[in-house]
Amino acid sequence: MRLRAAAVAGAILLAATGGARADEATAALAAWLAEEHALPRYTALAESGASLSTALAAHCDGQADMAAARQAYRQAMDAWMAVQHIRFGPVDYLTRHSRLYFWPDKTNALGKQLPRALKAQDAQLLEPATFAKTSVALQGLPALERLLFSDKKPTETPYGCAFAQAIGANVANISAGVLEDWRDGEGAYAKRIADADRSDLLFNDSKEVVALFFGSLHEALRATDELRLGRPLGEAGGRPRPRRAESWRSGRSLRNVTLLLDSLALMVEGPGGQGFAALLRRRGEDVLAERLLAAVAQARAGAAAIEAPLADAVADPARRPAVEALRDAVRGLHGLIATEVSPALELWIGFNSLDGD
Amino acid sequence: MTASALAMNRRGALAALGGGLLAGLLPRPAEATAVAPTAPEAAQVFGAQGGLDAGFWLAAFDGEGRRRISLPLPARGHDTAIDPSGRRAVIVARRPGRFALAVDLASGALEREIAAAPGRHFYGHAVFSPDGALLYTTENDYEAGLGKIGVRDATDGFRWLGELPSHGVGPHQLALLSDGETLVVANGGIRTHPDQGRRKLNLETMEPSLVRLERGSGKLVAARTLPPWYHQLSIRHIAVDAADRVAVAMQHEGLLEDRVPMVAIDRSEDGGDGDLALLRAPAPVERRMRNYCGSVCLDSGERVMAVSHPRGGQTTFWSWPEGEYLSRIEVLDGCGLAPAAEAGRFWISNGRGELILHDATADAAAPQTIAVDEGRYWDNHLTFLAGRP
Repeated sequence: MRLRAAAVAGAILLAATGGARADEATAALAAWLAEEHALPRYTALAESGASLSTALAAHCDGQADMAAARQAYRQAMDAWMAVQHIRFGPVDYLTRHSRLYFWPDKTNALGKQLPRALKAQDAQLLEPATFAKTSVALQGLPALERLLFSDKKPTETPYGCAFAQAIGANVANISAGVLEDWRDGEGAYAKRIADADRSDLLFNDSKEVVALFFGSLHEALRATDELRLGRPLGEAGGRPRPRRAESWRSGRSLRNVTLLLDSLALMVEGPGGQGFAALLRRRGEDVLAERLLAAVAQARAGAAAIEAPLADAVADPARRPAVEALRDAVRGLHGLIATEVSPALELWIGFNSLDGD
Repeated sequence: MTASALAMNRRGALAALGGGLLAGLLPRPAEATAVAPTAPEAAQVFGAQGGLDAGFWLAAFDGEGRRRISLPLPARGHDTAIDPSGRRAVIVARRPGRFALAVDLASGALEREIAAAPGRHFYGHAVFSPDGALLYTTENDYEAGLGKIGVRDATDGFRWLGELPSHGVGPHQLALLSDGETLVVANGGIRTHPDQGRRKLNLETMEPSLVRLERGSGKLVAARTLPPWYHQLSIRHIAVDAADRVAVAMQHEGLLEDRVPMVAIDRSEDGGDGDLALLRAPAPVERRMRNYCGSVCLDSGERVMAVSHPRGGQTTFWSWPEGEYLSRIEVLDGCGLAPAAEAGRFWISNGRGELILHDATADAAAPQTIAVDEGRYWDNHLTFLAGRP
């Protein structure tokens, strides 16, 4: 760790408030990230949320089997993994992100609260307005996974199935709300992004928007390193912890990582020359752009090289090195983004502004 | 260094920092060595740091930008309290953490781990009693949803002695008034529970307050609240001057588009009417606060108040104690604030690992970057320790 200690004049501007305007490439990237990255993914999430709600209602009515309910859950999770890295904007209102996906659950809140709730059989709890205010651990997709994939088959009881149905309706409501807030009306978040360089209502300029997405990219990779891969791998020298793998009950831990990397890769690669790699090239950082693309490719190849399920692979001496290699690749990628890409693009990762205290 | 600044910071002098090794829960003991032990009289700033790759530390830098201490933490740290003798520091975990570490500043070594009591977690801030014998920490009784002030015996291994009520929910920063007996506590008003991560459970009904209480008995002396239409302004961070006026920096939990006052002064010691004076800045400056203040402090001369706004990427300066808006500078992701030894100057830290010195009294003075700790970011708070004369 290098330390530069000198009385350097700060690279801090005494700029007048407002009035700052991003360059054209940055404005175009902000527009692309909003219109082509976020909006289609939130649309897909809202659609899969609605389908999930319908499928669970049909299942509890005896019109569809368990396989159909599980399939609807898988589709909703696929849609979620493609967009869960965005943690700002409408998904941040009303604690929506945590309500959709309370994870990681380091204190096993779900494991403690769900059996209690199923035992209490409180019908009032499942009313939509009440349910939306209950513990976040019970409201979203992780709780639904337990209901649909637990060996105890909780959805075979009427209350258990009604609980799953309440989650489905809640996920549908939240995901529809996020989409509406992004897309519809005068105050639509996408419109605010489009106006970022003309109005200082929500953003100083479109560079601030791009920085939010850039921070999301970095944070999702860091969480993948530490939580999705690091937690099941266990402490160095310790035993593997397969049940700390994300979504291990539905056997989709590796798929989560793959879908997440696919989504993040698009932000970097930006088909049509819109992504962060292209922004690097515009700044004459061609070598760094190539290194970034190579690091992304290495991480994706690392995920492809693992034989699923991840929860088994971490505990299998023959397969574990591939998981460790993936974690190293993901770690190398977010390290590159934080230490080299961030200063090159002058997009700072907001460690203090992300989640305040 | 003026007497009032010393009173404000409640720090004394300090001894040199040497190396220290950590045991137990800490991840990388080999890194727990002081980097550049220098003269004991130097002033220093302390703050929590995180690594761009991994890791968390308590770091101290001297005024020349030399790192004096680098102590690994088990998880993210928040604020640092230094005892009045300047002999030891306590860094507290960020909420909802359950650890605090006492550091012996003479050796730089970890002195002791301090664990949260059962059913409690820390909120990240602490203060020592004037004689250094007791440590007060803001804590959450999360099953009851009640704020507590933990009391520990700093002369006996930080043994837990008991707790006081914070007379509110979600107590965050706290400070002692000049009588040495009255604690002032910012009750943010937000209820959280560790089983729900950092989720805020009561934004519709929150009632933040600025409370004064007797540290001996826990008895409520006074509580200041906000007008009902501002009840979603969470009172989080405070700084106290020698006359016991309290600078208040808030965080708005309502819509991002709301424009509400974010800074206030409790001037009741001047014989005011007991209400918080809500301060306003020009509209563009207020919008750039993004409804969020990260920390607040007063300069050593007590003529300027600084407030950081990391989400808006700016730090604002206000006249003290009048509370007139003076100026602003751009500091990307800047949050940590501490007074420098010279009047009118402030230390500012940010998420780029930069330690910045700014003179808020000079016209158009450019902030100076004194050190860049590459590979690390500064977390929310800085604490200043005056040098030995």
